[in-house]
Amino acid sequence: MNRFFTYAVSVLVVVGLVIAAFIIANEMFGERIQGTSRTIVGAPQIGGPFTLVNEDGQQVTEEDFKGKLMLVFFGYTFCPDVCPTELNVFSEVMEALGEDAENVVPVFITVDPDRDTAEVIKEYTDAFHPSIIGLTGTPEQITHVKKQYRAYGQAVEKEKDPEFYLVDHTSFTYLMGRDGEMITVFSYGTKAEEIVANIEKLL
Amino acid sequence: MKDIKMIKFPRMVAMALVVCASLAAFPVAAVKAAGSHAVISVENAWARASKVKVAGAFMTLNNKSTSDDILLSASSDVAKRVEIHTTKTVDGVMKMIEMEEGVVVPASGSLVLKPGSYHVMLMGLKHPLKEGDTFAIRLKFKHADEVEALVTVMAAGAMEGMKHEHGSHSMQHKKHKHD
Ligand SMILES: [Cu+2]
Repeated sequence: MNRFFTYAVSVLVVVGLVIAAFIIANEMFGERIQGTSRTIVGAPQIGGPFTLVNEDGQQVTEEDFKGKLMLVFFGYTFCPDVCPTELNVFSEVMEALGEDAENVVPVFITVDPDRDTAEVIKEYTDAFHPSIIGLTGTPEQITHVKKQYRAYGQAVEKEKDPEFYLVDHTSFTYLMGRDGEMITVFSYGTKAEEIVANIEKLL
Repeated sequence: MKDIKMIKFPRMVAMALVVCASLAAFPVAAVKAAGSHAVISVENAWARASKVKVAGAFMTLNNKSTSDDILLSASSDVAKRVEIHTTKTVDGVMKMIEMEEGVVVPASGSLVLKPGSYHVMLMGLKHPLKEGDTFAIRLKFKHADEVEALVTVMAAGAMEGMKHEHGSHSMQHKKHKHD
């Protein structure tokens, strides 16, 4: 009887744990992409080492950004709608931070390295705020950094339209900590004030 | 051959006279026929400054007629190719989609082209668009006459056009359809 009771309790505990794990997993990953909440927390495996080319044509790695907070957005300069909107938010964030802005580097990583040379990306990002750094690289380097950030960027019918092809891309903004660890992810449309509030908590 | 022409000519003149007479007799009908053309006006047309090869333009199209119309296409001298796009987010991924079938401008209503939604996509800019510049975009509709919108270039990160102006900076010239 006693043994049966122990057995029954164990089974119930295991079932409970499985259900809990399922619920947690669903909470963390199921709705994460939908952006129902403005601030998306979780997914600790985002970020990590990368080698890219900055807008002055110099090679940079994640080490160059250590000690500063990073705001990261993936986009492309051939994007006249979503990317300018997000870079406008970056600009508002930097202005709102005032002196604290020196602790933050806003970074725009291209998902279209073929068209976005260092020169092009510099022209593009500087139009929004001088502090925004555009990063490009070889197709391999871009593929790698996209993987690190679980970002998506895929050209549409590039062969059919080599000059004017469009690129589908992730619309999240990542807030990275001083050691390159991911702090949080903001879905597209998050207001500058909310990003500023999250940054100020870390200063 | 000559005979036929001789007969045909006065017949045509007679027909023309009949048409003129009927137009004179029913001036209201004539006006109505001309006015049955749907009219679409443009308000607050603006674009984002761009030093790269592409820019987006936004505006409000007002359809004063009582039937739906369709914005079919746009063209401009500032770009090699002009398309009507919309932006869609699917699972956090942004896509721009060309509206190949056009976009409805509802009867007695408006179609708003704005960031994150419909936009006129200017591809292959022939020169950079500088803040404060103006340029023209020609818009073709299924029913209404072609409209030329005067677009004002705002800052690269602008989210809207100039405020408190009602059409004064987005003058438009109606053009006759050539089809
Ligand atoms: Cu577009």
